Amino acid sequence: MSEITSFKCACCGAELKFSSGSQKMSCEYCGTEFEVEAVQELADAQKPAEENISWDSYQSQTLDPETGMCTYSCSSCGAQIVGDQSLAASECPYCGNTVVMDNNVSGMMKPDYVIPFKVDKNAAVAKFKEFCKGRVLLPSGFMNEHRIEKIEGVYVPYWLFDAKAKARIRFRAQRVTCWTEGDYDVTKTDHFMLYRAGSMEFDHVPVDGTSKLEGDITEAVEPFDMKGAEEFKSAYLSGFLADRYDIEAEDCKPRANERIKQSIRNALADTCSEYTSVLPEQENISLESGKINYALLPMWLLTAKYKGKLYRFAMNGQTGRFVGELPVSVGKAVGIFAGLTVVLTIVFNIIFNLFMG
Amino acid sequence: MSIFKRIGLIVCASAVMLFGGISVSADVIDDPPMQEIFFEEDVESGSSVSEESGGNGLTAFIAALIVSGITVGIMIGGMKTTRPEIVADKYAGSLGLTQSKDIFLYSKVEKKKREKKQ
Repeated sequence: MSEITSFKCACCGAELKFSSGSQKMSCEYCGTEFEVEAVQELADAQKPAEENISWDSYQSQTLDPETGMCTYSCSSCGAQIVGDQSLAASECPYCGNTVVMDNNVSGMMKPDYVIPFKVDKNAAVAKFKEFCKGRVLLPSGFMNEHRIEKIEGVYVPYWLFDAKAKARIRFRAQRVTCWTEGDYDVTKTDHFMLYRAGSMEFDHVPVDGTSKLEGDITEAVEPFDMKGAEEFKSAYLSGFLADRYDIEAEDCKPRANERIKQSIRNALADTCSEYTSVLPEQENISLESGKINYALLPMWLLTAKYKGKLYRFAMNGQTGRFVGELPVSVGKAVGIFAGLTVVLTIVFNIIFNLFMG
Repeated sequence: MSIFKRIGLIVCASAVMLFGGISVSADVIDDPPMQEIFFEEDVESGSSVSEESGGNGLTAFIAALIVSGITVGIMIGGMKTTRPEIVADKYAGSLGLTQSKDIFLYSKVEKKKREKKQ
């Protein structure tokens, strides 16, 4: 069956016809003319892109039960924590309730990698004080000595995603040029269609495998330097807690895909810097040789209590990057807002009267 | 009374004084019809300047509110450093560009007559 192909004007959307005079595709409605090649490229690009994202399924290995490690479970939040037997009377690093020894680690999945702790507990306390320092809106009573309720070194479970991303993106771009001609201001807008294709290798993109920590905390402490990752040995866990993952690798894939896609999208958009505006129109991103690994990454978790509310802070146990959310003093915020408004009103009033009055 | 409540009171008082002054001058302008005639005849009078400075005062107050709001908003935002990471750039190699093609489609030219300064 024959197929009738119609080409639409990129400017107004009307039908284009070949003009034998100019040897170009011409729009009878708005008069714009296009090179035949450009119209063909445009028509090809309208075809829907197929997404091809494939990840290998993760092959788990269980941990040797002879490691002397035990699992503990929290009756309050359900966290399952791994540690040595000395942690029998420990508290849950997430909710603060007492954890109870379950059994030994038989059946626990063996991580592929572990990044050992590089910064100690004292550094975490120092970072917390540094983090609070100079915060004008911090309530005055917050920085008392006993404000920190608990500090725990926890190995947080992460899924690491390796992949080669390939992308082909079509952008619509504009270049605006302005000049003057006698009494006229002239603005010329050139419209372009840009094609960019490229590939990028991603190595160990981490996505946390625990639901006990908010995703914005586990991502905010990044980056982890994966060059410091070691093959898992249970000795690294000694003196620390290790959480067991409760989010399957399968469920973490969309998050990894999202971050990888955004990175390659940005990288390709950065190659169009000579245009005034660039907007992506169509993209085709595929991931190849996707591999998933399981790792335990080090994090110091600090809990502070203020006016009955718990505030959680986290520090990257490898790099010392500290994140968290501090309480805000409403009185101070209102005071600063009011004071600033008074001062700025006076200043602006003087300026307006000088230059506009 | 805390220092912040005091500052709050000062702001309210300043606003009342500032806008009280403006509304008084506006009343003077609007109320008696004789005043209107006075304005038409004497454009350079002090009341006209007062009206203009009142307008400036209101603009200054609104601008100050906006700037203060933004400043305090930024300060409150700075109290929270837990944000999701939207990219994976830290774990990426360099981009290998395999295709880069720019196709010119069309141009649009706009001419606008310049307004003459009076």
